[in-house]
Amino acid sequence: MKPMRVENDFRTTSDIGSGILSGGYPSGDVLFRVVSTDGARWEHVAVTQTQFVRDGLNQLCDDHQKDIAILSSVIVWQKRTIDFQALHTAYLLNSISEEEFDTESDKFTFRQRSVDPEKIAFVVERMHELLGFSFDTSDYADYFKCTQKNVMEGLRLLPGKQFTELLPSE
Amino acid sequence: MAKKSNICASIEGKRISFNTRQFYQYTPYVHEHLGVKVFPFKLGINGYAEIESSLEDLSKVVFETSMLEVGDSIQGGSVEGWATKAIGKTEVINRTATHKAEAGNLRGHAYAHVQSPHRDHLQSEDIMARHPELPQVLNPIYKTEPGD
Repeated sequence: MKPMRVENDFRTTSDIGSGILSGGYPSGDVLFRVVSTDGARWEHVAVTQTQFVRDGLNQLCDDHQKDIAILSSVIVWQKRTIDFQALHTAYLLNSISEEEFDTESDKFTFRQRSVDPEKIAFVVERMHELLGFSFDTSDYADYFKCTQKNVMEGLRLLPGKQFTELLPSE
Repeated sequence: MAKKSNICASIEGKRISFNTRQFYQYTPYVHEHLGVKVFPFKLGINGYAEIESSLEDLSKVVFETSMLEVGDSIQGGSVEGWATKAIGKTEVINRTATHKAEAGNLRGHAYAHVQSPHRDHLQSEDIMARHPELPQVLNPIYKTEPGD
């Protein structure tokens, strides 16, 4: 099919704006994509439904927000670890007594909770993709504030070698 | 006779000495079975732990499969565990002719477990066949019925 060719005589343009991400669009509401190869003539026009573009953008935003939430939680976890390490160092250097360390460490102490293995599998896999490395089961237990047994229930749902090798052989 | 293991085994004691190339201290948590605060740790590279003093009340042992006698030891590429008392200062020792290590002690009710065996065990089917991994069995006193 011969590409559509039109003259470059558009007089007005307008921004679509962020409002495109909200609301629904009827099938007759479409977006055009115009391609120019030489800057003077429009070489190609593509059309797609606005609803399709909106759904794609929303999906992209959702995925990125989940990734940002995971990375943010890793930073919070590491901040808690660093703060506790500083307290422990103070104890090791005799800046505080064992009794003071024991009392202060109560602020960092948590009760282990039960975490859905599917959630563990999702977060661990995504964390590995985002960071490029894996942690030990004891690290994940500290991150999720759960037992290592709970962590292993999640890891068993992941097929990757980098995860299965963290498990004891069956 | 003291037992020694480096395949997925654990020890529990009143005082456990350890040495490692890389010591980690995690944030404390309330142990699900003991109901008290414990200080978890990890011996990241080539961990070794040995019972210096046995538990006085053996009914409180968490895992029936743990080794409990003085001299019983575990060794692994990575060892993790916990102690009910704060983990104190470590000191640098000469572990081999070419490598130094951090050495320290765990006090209270202490537990150490091989998280990952040495690389040679992971890679050797022969060794794994002769020394199968030891499953951990929870002490029945800590078992609870669903809904408890």
